[in-house]
Amino acid sequence: MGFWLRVSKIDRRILFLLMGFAIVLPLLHPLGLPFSVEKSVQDIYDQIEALPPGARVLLSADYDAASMPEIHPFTISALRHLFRKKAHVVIMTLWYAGPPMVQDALDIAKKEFPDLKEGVDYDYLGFKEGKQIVMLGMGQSIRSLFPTDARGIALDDIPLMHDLDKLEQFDLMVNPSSGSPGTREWVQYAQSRYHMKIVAANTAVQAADMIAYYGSRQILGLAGGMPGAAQYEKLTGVAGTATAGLDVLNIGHLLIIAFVIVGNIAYFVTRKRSA
Amino acid sequence: MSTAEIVGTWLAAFFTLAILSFLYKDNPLYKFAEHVFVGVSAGYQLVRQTFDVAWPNLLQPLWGGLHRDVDTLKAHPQWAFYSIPLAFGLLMFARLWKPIAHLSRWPMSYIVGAFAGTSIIGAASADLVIQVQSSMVNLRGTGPWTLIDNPFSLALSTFGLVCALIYFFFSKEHKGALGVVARIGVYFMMVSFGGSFGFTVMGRLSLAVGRAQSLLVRTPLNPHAPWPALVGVVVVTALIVIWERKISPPSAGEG
Repeated sequence: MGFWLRVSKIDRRILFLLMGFAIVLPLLHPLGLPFSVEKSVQDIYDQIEALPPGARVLLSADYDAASMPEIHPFTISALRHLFRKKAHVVIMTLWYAGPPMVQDALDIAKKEFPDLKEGVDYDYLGFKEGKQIVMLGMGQSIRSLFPTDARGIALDDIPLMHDLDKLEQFDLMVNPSSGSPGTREWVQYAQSRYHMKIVAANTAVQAADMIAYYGSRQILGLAGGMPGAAQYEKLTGVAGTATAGLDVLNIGHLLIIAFVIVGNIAYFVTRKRSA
Repeated sequence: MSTAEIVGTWLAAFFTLAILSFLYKDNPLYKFAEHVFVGVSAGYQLVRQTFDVAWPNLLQPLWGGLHRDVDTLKAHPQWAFYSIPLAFGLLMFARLWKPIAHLSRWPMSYIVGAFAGTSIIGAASADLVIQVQSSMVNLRGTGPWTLIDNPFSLALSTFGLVCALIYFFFSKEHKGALGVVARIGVYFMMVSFGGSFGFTVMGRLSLAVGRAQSLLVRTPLNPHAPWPALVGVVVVTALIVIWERKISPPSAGEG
């Protein structure tokens, strides 16, 4: 059997093994490959950087553990950045598996800011079922959808929420999202109807669709996948898991490109010989 | 770190490796992990939906109403409206009993109608009108030239848009000049699909990186890394070897 024929019939488990090495080795021995910041990610940073102290920001963490490696580092960096800018952050989630994500991100981001007070500097409203119906409802009255926050305290008793009851009162919305309901729905219902300023971080799969919204300025910044999160970590000056994972992504992509090239050569060579 | 967290870390390592064992071949360990995952997900969702959705939005107001005096209820007649979603919710279970199964279509119709109605408005305003507006660009660019905002990129984008739209024009056979333009439109769409596929590959690889980080990198949540992963590899491999020997015992000539 010729070399190319053997290549074309290679056991797929060998490819899995090679990919395993490509993932594990750079993690154990980081290469620190350089990367630059895209304009769409820089735009998110600039939007938050331009906020005055006390600006009201809504952060809807619409993702779950399945997309944690891509989205979660961004949520942590964004919260850290918002707390640094002394913004007043209202946090919520439209995903039933989102609450543990929010709690973990808050726990990590708050460590640097021991003086932060829940209900004054930030508040977590919790999870709400209803998808876009919730967005439309929040445009009319946040209290009608969230009578209490996640702790069970009535919104009227929370200083941060005293005169805050409609989506249009927020200066900015940050939307880490990995599907539906997520950025698409926030654009359709909150941006188009209430003219909210939205910046988003999406999974790589979703980001391909959201680029159109960024191009039309319906969202003002976009971080796509793990590279987007790594770029945001770079801008905020705190390297996290996304930055550490970028080496692995680079090596992994090179390996996949090599697989595609070798596989195609093997296909064409063996087809020519069999003909 | 509590005992529960330590046990959780070891279990996470074991289940991750059990799921990854599918890359070798389908096996009972993978099936076990898959079933546990489905069960835990369903249980988690049930608890969340009950205590975060059904209780505060429906059951609590109804329960509170039952314990109020008649005068209070008369003053707040909206309490009675909660019986409508309750009835619709109960009708969803009608499909479990064949003679009244058709009644489950009522709440389903309401849900489909409500979501379709709201979706049409959102899609029309955000995806149609504004996207069409944004496709009508100034070909000279609007500011300092960037990778996207420059005359060449904008002209290429507009040309691709027109060609792709012509591909979806079916009232005339795609022959001659129309056929050439439609073919160019297909090429533009293929480039777009290639870009989407590239993003998908990156997304899947990112998930693998996330799991590898959780197994191998020492963090406050996984202070014993990479030991849970290494022990997990040994245990999973041993179990798969035992299973393989059980389903196909070595022949007499083999050791």
